Amino acid sequence: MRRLSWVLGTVALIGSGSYLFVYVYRWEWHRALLVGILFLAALVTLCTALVLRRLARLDTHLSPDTRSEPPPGALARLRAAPVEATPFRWLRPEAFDGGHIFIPVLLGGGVVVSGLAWLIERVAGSSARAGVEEELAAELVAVAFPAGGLVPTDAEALTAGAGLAEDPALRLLLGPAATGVTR
Amino acid sequence: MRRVLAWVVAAAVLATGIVLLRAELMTVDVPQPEGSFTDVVVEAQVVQEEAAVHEEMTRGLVSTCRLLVNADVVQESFAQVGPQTFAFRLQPGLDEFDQRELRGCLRDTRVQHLLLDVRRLETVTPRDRDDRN
Repeated sequence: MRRLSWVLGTVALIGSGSYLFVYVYRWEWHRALLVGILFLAALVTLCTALVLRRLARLDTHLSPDTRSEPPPGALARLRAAPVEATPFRWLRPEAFDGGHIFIPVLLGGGVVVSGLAWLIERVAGSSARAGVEEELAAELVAVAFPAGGLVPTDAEALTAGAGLAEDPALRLLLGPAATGVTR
Repeated sequence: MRRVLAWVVAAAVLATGIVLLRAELMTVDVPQPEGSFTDVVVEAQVVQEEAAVHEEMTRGLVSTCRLLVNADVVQESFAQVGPQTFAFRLQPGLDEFDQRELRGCLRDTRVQHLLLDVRRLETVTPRDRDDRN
């Protein structure tokens, strides 16, 4: 069946190619176009089949035959082989070729760097806190209570006694002391 | 050795085909003497259509193909000369290259369900007429 398909494809290719030539030779362009499409289709089909056949051959050569039985005694030999149980083999001195120690060094380096970063953060925080507090205290002076408290001055008390507190502008200027209202 | 021989044969066939196509598809305008004309007789085969449309479909194809060769159908020259056979005259006469192109166009499948077979395609010059007489 496969050989028959190859024969049919080849015959179609040769036939359509020949008729393509003949129709172009006869100036019959529409027929040539139709046969040219058939020729291209046969050509693409045959080329694809060739590539697939070559790939199938390569696949057969490269892949192991899984359907065959394993060699006799292989399983018994595998089970009888001693089990190697050497933990942290990459830390053994004979394994120190540079590459095996990379991950432990990386992990240890990470721990050391994290400790250093924590220490720097603590020192920086403690040194910055004193300066920040002094600066904040200096800024709060502007809004601090007066040193003498909120007691009205003599001038304010005199103004209130003379009845001048009826003036709204002066009353606003003097504040609660001018009206005698206290909290 | 066989593979080389096969490639050589293929190259020879290809070269021969290209030379043949070049010779056949060449278009050279050969001036025809004044008074010359070309007589054409075609046989039409129509499928899936009524017989009454034979002449109409043939006229359509002839009108299309005569544009390719730049010649006019002589007025009242298109006539049915047989059950499915039609004849017409083109003027001026066609040279050898235009005859090939017209024959190919008429035999081509340009009109669906219509197939023409060129029975006669001949260019007649005044000298040919004198020789016949």
